[in-house]
Amino acid sequence: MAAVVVVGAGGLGGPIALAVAAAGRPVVVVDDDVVELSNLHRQAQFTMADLGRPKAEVLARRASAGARAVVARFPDLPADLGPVAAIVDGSDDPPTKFAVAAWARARGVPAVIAAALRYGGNVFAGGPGDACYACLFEEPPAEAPSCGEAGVLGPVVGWVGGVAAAAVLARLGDRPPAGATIWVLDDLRRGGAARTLAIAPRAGCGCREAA
Amino acid sequence: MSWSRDRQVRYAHHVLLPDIGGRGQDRLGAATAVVDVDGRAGQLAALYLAAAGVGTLALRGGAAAAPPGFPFDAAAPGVVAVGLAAAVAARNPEVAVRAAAPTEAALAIADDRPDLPLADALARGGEAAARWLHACATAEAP
Repeated sequence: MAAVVVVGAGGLGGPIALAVAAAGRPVVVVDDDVVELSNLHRQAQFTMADLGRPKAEVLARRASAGARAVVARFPDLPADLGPVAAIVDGSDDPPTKFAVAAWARARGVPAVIAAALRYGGNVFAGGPGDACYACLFEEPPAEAPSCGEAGVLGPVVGWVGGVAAAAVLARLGDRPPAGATIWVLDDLRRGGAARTLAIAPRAGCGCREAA
Repeated sequence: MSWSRDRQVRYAHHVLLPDIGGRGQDRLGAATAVVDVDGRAGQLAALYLAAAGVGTLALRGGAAAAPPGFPFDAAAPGVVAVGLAAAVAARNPEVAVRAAAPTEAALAIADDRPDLPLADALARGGEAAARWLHACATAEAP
């Protein structure tokens, strides 16, 4: 069965890889970082015994017997990657998110791109031919705060990661959703529920010119 | 509460948050979260609450099966979450774990089940834990 590539093995990549693997899909976990104490308030997939170990290796071992770890930084993927069904971004880096979206478009596979910061997050999901991540956000922001700079409430990453995992599994199911969507949690402190919005293709986006 | 170097590092990303800070983190450390861990969303909520630094977890129910990837030894059915307590200790040794008293109201997670798909359990358990933490960190001191 074709694998789901999960970029990032941290707060979002952890729950995403575990939930995708639990649904029976092979996963490839890509991350070049090691587990640190400052990760443990939100990265519930790791224990104190994992400190100092490569995140990708620990997460892949925990996800399933068939999971593969790539200790590298996207897009530095091995040549023998094999068939890929979809790619999910759980990185903390806007340029990587755009690179993952472009990679999915070039390969013709669905992309799910997740982000979490402070008290909120969002999850973009789209298939080949749908509006792409750059249709929505156009280009990476000049400056974007990371979780290390702005903070994140620990369980928010479990919430957003779970939504992202469900989104990619839906794209790979028998009746994949039509069109691109973004799930948006603005700020849980406002008390409202998360929303899901449909995203239309943007005229002039690179993905339209290539089509 | 005294802040060791390890504590400063572990909760660095919480202390940065508006509404949490050092005082909010201390409130979490002094608080008890009551969680029903018969269902998978409750089990994951408990793990995320422990990671986030809640002082005490009061667990209700027997976690007979661990969620995949969040390994803990299966407790005997009916025994209060023995394995979950070990999983909490492995993540955050500062957290105390005890059985919930019958009168304590648990964190509400609608329609939680032991066989909930992990993606759904993460989303629902994570949401419940996140909302509980924010409410706890910002509650007026009694």
